[in-house]
Amino acid sequence: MRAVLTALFICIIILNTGCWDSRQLRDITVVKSAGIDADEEDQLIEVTFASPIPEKYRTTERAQIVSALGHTPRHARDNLEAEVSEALDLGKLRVLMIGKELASEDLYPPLDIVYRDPRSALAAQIVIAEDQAKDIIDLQLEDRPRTSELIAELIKAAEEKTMLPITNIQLICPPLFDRGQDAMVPYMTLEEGNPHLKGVALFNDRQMTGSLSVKETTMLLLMMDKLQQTASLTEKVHSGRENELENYVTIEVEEVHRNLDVTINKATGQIEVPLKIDLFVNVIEYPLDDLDNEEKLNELSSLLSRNFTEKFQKVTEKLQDSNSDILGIGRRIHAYHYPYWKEIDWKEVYSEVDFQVDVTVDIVRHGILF
Amino acid sequence: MEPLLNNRISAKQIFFLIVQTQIGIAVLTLPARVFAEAEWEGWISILIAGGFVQCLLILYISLVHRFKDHTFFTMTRILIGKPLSVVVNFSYFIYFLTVTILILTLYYRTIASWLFPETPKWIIMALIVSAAVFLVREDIHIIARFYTLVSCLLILIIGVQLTGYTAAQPLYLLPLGHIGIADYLKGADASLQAMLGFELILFIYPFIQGAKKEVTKISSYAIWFTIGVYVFSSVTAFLFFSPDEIVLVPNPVLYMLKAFTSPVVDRLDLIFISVWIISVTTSLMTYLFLASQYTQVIFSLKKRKSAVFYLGLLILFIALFFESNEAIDAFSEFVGNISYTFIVGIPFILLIIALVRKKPARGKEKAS
Amino acid sequence: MKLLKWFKRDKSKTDNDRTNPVIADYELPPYPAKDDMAENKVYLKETFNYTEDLIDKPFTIDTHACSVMFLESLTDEEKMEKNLYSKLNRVHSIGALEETLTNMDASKLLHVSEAVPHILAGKCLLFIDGLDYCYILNTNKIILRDIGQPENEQIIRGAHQGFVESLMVNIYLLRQMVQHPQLTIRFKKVGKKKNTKVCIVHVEGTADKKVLNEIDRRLSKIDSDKLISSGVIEEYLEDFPYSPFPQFMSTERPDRCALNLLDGKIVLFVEGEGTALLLPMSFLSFYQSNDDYNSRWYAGTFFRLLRMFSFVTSVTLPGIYIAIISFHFEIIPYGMTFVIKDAVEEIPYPPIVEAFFMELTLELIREAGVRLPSPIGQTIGIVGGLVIGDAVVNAGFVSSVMIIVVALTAISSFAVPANEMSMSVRLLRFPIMIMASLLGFLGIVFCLNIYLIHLCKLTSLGQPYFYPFAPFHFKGILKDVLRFPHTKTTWLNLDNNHNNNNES
Repeated sequence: MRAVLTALFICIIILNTGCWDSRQLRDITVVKSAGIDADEEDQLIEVTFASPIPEKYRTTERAQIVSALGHTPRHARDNLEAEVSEALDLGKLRVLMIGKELASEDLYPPLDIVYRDPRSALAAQIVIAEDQAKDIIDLQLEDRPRTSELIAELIKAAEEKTMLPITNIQLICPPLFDRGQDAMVPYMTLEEGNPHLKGVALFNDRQMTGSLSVKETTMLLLMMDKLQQTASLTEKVHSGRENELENYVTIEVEEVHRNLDVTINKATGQIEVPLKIDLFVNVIEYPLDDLDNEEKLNELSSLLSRNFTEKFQKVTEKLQDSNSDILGIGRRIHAYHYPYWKEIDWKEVYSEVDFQVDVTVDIVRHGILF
Repeated sequence: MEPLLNNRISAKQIFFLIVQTQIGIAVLTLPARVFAEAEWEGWISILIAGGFVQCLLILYISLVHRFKDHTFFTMTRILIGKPLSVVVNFSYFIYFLTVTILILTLYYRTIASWLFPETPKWIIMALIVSAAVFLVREDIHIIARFYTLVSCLLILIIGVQLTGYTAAQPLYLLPLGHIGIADYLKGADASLQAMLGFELILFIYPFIQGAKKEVTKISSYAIWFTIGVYVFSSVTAFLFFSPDEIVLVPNPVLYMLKAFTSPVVDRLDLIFISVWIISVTTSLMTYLFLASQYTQVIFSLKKRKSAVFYLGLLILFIALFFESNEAIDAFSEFVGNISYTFIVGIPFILLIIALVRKKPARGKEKAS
Repeated sequence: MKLLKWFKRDKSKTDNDRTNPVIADYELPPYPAKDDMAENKVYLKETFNYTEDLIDKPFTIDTHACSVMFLESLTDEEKMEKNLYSKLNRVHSIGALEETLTNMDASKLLHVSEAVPHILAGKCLLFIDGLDYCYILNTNKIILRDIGQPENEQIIRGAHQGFVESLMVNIYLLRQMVQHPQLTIRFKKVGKKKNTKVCIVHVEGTADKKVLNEIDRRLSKIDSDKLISSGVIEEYLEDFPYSPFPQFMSTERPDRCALNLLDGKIVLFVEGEGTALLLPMSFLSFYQSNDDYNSRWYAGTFFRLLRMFSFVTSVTLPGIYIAIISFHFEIIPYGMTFVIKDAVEEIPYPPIVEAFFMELTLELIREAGVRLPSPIGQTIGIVGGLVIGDAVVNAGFVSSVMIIVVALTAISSFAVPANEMSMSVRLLRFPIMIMASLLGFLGIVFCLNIYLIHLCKLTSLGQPYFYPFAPFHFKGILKDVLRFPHTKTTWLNLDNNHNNNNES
């Protein structure tokens, strides 16, 4: 009797299979990239979703791209459901692109849905688009089947070469909320119909206030002691050569020793940041080919040191211009000078900070040639 | 049926019993809870709470060791007389049931918000309760074996959090000492609910084979192990989230895993929250076991087995009543408040009475 | 919750009170042998219900009428010739006959009724007219299979012998391997009519006395009047008849028995069966093969770990697949998302149906192939595995990923060295699949949790089944899960005899 009841019980459960929370993979549209733009006219938000089309249904188009307007990203997405045959799912989102306009207002509101939804992909790459995010998402490149993969791989390759900081939606969240540190997000544009990395967008709190080029980003990352596998920098060291190529040297940074200190001059209230950076580099391209003795090596390295000190200093000035504390100086003041931190409004003080950059370049190798 | 087994547990198993009872659903929310009180110094609060728990533990053992051959419920009868002991014992019984219901509702809430918003509540609760009933029907030594076995999950909780260190910012832990002692104590108070479970020693002491000194030593290890895990989890969460962010995240430990990605598997949080059901169930099992111990003592039931089944049904039905978040929070607060009576108040009074009466343990001290 | 009751142990059910009225007991009232031979003969024939293979061969010696009676089917003609007929020619008096018989080791019986079991065993009964006793002669026929390699448990290196259907030969094989005076054999007749001979072998000193007594007690309780086979005995000896896990191991390998005997286990033979029962057993012993001890230690360790892993995959893999594609596709890494999405895109059924369909098909192929002669069996394997698998994917019933999952699961379930465990494991995956289709990973973990609790509860003759995991014993795990070089294991064996009680 008991056995019969048990069997019946199990049968009822099986018959109920498929309800509740199951979402069959075959019944959903897996969105790979999404773009969010501000639509000026109606104060609306425009979202664009791209999702690759399964091989079986594929004709000429390889991706399905849809967009809709709404008051919030979620609202726009709900409007889209009417357009798409299967339910949209952002669980495997690879790239989230935000239009510059929206980012200059406030980055957080369009992202709230991603942070709040338990199913969202926090590991997705976040990118700021120089114009409309939609334009980049809309791309249907001939040679690359999925634009989302292209962008994600582009960024990943750049991260490995220290051209971009390692970011994803979750990783920018702590600095976004941190009063003592600011976020930077990869910055992308469309150049001749292809996505092109411009560098990083700088944020002041939650607003985008400026940007850095790729080279400046590399320098910034070196200042942050965030060297990835390699970082290469090309610098003009001579000016008199006939052959333009011979004026330049390209180095690859192998190791960075950074020394960052924050001192507060009690008397003047001036914050001083001595920033000492030792770069151990490998010369990978130097058409002049005259590194055959120590003297010339030293000459080149001191030349590089001088140039870099100047350029790195410029980067800090640029950061201060956008009022974007990427280096986390405020965080250090918060940690080591807490009483002082409580007295000041950091955002006011930041632009007054005195960065004293000092770069030393040490050539440790120069390839297999002199 | 099992003539070859004895139903006592070794001193070493105490470690796993206590640790598995303590570590449960609370560890997922603990970093956020202590942060709310003590900010980034919350881990110091946890250590303070740990010291407090350690004192209580010594107090407990000195109490129950006087009555080594009695369970807690019979001990109260000897100490404070029958009528009063009935009240005390019954209130403990209710307390255990309340804690099981709290665990059940908290876990359901986590599951519902993270994984299965649509699945009927009773299904998920029935899963946990049925597993608990299935095990608690057995004797304590089987329970201890199971706890020992599933303790390998503790490696999991430490292991997965290591992924958080890829994005750790050590400066988030500084400066130290920026809050007053009152705030530390508040944080300790907030973390005490996660510590609950060590009071187990009051009730299972007679089952333990081992000298008093050894039991004290091993149960202290257990408590400090739990505290170690808690401090580790909190520190990891404080390092991963910035201070202004963590107040927005009720389940920092899970949230951290959500950002994890690798070429083999993504979204560790989905796996973790599913596997964590076992550790949650162990906490529930302990309290269900203690409640069933009461029925055994009071109704002189020869077998606890049927009692366990009905107790399981009872807590399942009561737990189904909690719907809103506010109700659950209020209930959680309530349990936190009354727990002081049960883990501090009553044992302390009992110890004083025992000291005053100087009543030696009934019967001979059996060499174990 | 009701599911749990399946596992509940229920002793009352195991006692079979019903008696079968058709087959009466053959406990005979004593019937003393009479002077009159004819009377004895009639009694015997009546007892045997005038069965026609009961031969009555009369002869005379010195005017005394004698007669040999035996069951033709059970008696060896050659032995009769050698032991009896050839000697009869040389005897000329009753006195001499009796002397010859005594020399031949014939036993003298005063009751004819006592002779009945002997005749049933193939001996022959000799009556001499005028004497009120009879002689029983050992002339039973023995037909033996060769001691060959057991088909079901092949190993690569080591002894290639297998048990046969004769108790004595089996004991012989064991004694060959364990040449020790402490190897003790106990016979016992079990069953309601006490007609099945069971042999309990243990090594005195290493085997647990309590376990031996318990076996003895449970064997005496067997109350069945059906044919008693090792399977029946196994169920009577089990602590948990409702458990899906096998609690004893049946083996045809003497070397495996010998190894376990020395390890303190007990071997149980049933007359007429070529299978030995090893008891008590732990879960891990089903995952050990004698090959482990004969191969290099790291190979042995690796294959043991591989088998453990195969346990996990064969139980959970289809469940995990179902859970992923119907609940948690987020955990598929980026590169794989679209591979899997493309595969499942046009499958008409829910994954649980798909999985059940394939799993049952596979079980069907196995079940159909297992009893067929091997050439046909192989054909079925090919038709089933290759043809159906391919057709089903092309037709779009089942996704190609599902086929991979099912095939992997099947292979890992066959990696278990012990057949009975492989059966259990295959059944264990069905509840997991159902739960996975309802609750995703949560369902799988819940099922595994229940299995774990059950394993912790389970005992085999009172010994914890899931040792060394529960009770947890670290050295035991090192010893049973891994395999260290034989010469380096002394540190593991320090507390070998007490480890079952030494919980930590």
